[in-house]
Amino acid sequence: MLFGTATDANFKSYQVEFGEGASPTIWAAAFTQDSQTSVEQGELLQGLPGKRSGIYSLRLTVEDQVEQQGQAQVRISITSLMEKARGGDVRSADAGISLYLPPNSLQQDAIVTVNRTPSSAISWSLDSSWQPLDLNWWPIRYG
Amino acid sequence: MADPLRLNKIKPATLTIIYDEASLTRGKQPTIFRQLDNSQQWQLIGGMVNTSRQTVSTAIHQLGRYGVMEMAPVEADNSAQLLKESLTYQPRVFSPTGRRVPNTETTISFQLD
Repeated sequence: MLFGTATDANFKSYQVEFGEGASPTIWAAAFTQDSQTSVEQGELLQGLPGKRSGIYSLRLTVEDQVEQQGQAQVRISITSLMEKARGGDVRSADAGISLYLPPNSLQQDAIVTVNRTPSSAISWSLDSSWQPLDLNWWPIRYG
Repeated sequence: MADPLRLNKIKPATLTIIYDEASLTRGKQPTIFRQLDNSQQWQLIGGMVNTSRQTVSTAIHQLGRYGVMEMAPVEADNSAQLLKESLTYQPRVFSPTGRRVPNTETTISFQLD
């Protein structure tokens, strides 16, 4: 599932497209019709049925009543099924985040992905003693 | 039915996030938080900072949305007691069969009352 926000004061519709790799040249619509209902911190897309493991890019386009558009793009990594009994490592597409699941940590076999969301795409409470940190790292290679 | 996002209580996962030290405000440290049920509320989880690798790691007991924030280090009260059931370490350096798994470091995690 893809969670996020697609709103505007003069909202008309939004569309989610996907492409293969980190910088796709071909984009395909993730659903057949543009959605006419705005979403705030909610589900934008149920999934990409039939997609194999690999790196994909998702592009969200929001259009207003005068056909002006705003876009946001994220990279996701779809991994193969993780076996509960074996566990393993999962990394984000840019390798900046890793998750180690020991054997029998999961309650059942599952597809586990790690996807990075920029802090600008998240609503933050302002009256707190902490601030979101922009992770401007250089991607590193493992292995 | 069990919550699929919840992990085995005694087998937490280890989340490691790379940060850029240049992004940090002086005197503050990167800390991992968890977002509560898609709300604007975030729960402090903590994390062990490795300044040479510029990573922050923590044990997590459920999957979900996690974020790195900067905050001033929190000093525990002298009277704070360790919650015994919260003590975990991951990854396991030794396996029950005696076969050493390829981990040479482990992260010990605990909560104070």
